[in-house]
Amino acid sequence: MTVADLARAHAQTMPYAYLDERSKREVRRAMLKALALPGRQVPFASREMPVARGWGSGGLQVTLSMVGPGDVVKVIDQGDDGSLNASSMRDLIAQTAAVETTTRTREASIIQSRHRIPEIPLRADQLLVLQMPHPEPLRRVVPDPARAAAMHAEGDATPAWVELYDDTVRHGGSTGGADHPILVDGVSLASPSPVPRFDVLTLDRRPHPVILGAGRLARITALPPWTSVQPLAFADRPLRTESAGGPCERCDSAESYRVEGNPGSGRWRCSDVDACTDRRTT
Amino acid sequence: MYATLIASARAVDASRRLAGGAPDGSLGALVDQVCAEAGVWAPGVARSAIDQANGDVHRAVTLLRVWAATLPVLESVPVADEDRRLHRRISSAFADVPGGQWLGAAPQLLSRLLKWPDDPSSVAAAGMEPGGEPTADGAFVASATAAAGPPTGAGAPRVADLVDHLPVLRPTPEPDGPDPVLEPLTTQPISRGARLAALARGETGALVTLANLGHAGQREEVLAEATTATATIRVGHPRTGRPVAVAEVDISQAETIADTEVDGRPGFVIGFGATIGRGERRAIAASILDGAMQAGVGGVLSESTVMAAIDGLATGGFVEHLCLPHYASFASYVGQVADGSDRSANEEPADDGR
Repeated sequence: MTVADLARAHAQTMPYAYLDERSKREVRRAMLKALALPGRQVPFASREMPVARGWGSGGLQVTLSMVGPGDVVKVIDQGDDGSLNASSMRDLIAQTAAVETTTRTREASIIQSRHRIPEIPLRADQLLVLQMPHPEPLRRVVPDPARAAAMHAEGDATPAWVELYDDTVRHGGSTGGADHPILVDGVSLASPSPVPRFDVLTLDRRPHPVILGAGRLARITALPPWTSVQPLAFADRPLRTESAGGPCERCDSAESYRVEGNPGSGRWRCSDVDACTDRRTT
Repeated sequence: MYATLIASARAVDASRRLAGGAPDGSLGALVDQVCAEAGVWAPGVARSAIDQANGDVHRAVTLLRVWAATLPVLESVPVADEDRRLHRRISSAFADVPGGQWLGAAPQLLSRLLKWPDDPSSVAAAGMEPGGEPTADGAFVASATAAAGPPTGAGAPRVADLVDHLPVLRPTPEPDGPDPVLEPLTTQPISRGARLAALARGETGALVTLANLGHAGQREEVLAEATTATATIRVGHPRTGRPVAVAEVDISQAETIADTEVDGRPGFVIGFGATIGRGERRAIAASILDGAMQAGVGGVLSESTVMAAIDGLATGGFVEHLCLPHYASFASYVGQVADGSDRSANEEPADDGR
């Protein structure tokens, strides 16, 4: 073996699935640790990725570390496969890992998503990767990260409860909108990423793993299969989901998570495009 | 449309093409940044300044501001909506906004992989590389069906108005603020107009840093609207007083919505930011800071801190002034410290005698 041989062996301009093996190992180790510590924030050496930070660099590193030749990858942004950023990342994954892509939730083996959880139930053989901007659920009430880490270590979720109590007393309920904090296994306070409250209520005891990747803040959080995930809520004040002003104008569903493209137009549409298409075609 | 682009791969390609800039290395974004931080729209002069400053942005901004400081100042007429010709308009708050979403030149879509000039294969950067044919008029809409170009400001009603029926913090209406070129902003509180003018020429790095610090305290920050446009600037004719077009200036504007309390209830604050040149990052950061100052977030985002931190020439000047000789003043400090340590050395036995 000579240096020239080594150079020849690595003559591709890019490694398989973009990341070099050392970077992948770093992400995989963090994922294993995160799976062993459900709901905890595990730091990892986040790499500079060819997408802007905050645009899914964490989710992308998780996906690229997991993807193999047999995988079928789906990428959605706010529930939509056609979104610009989702398309760019799907192209990157497909081209560097030579995998098939799909928009159909059922066909995918890895689903990378920003701010939505697919509404079609996932199976045990599927992996859900969530892009996460803020892994620290205490960030609003405990600005010092070291203090927040200590509180997590002590299982002390008091500041989050106090914040929720404050919101409940003053405003009648949580004012957080998306990204409602969750209690994992009854003990770990975590962020579910800014998914709507509708999605937070679907996280309990899912048959598949969920990996949340925060590239900008270099943290990975995991929910192993069948983990208990409850929203932070008082027993007599259950978390309420968002309400839509009407059924989906495409599939007529009144149960899905719907958004109004142009406010005041009264035209509500499913945000999960594949689930909506599925309802219309079956 | 910005949110859903299944049918418009061509538009995305075109947008990448637009954002890719001139192939001759004309440093367009840098020129715009220097103009913006100087508060002077003079791209040709800025190019010379960058050259003279060996590419040092701080120094180039200084050159431009020094040059402009003694030029006459004319008051312009507020830019009419129809004099603002949009190139790009996106909203991350709502998908279908009146007037439409226009991708224009989207720098975020450009490949983030380094191109090696001698390696043609590296140019095919994993599907994130410009493709397609450039179109002559420079106007691209992401919806493949649109025939006309993007509208003027008159055809693109303010997106933030769509949340007007909700509790929104409403700033007190006030006349135009003082021009930061002509009046000092050192006496606080200053008017919101003056604040916005100062933000418009704030140092890019400082704006972005402070906007990030501000975000930590907010729940969610949503971009109601970001636009880049070319504005026709008019001044009153010296004889007739009638407005006369004197310049075409590229501008970027942004409005962000953040949550805040309005009369004790959950509500929104709408921050506005604008800058000359094509500088979306600057405009968005400025709008976040305006929102934070309106909402009285305080701390590092208090008006006095923000105004001090974004003045790049002042902050850079302070750091660099340490290169000046301090021989006389330092001798005074040395003397003081020496005296002090002598005194405490003498006092030590007394302290120990408890």
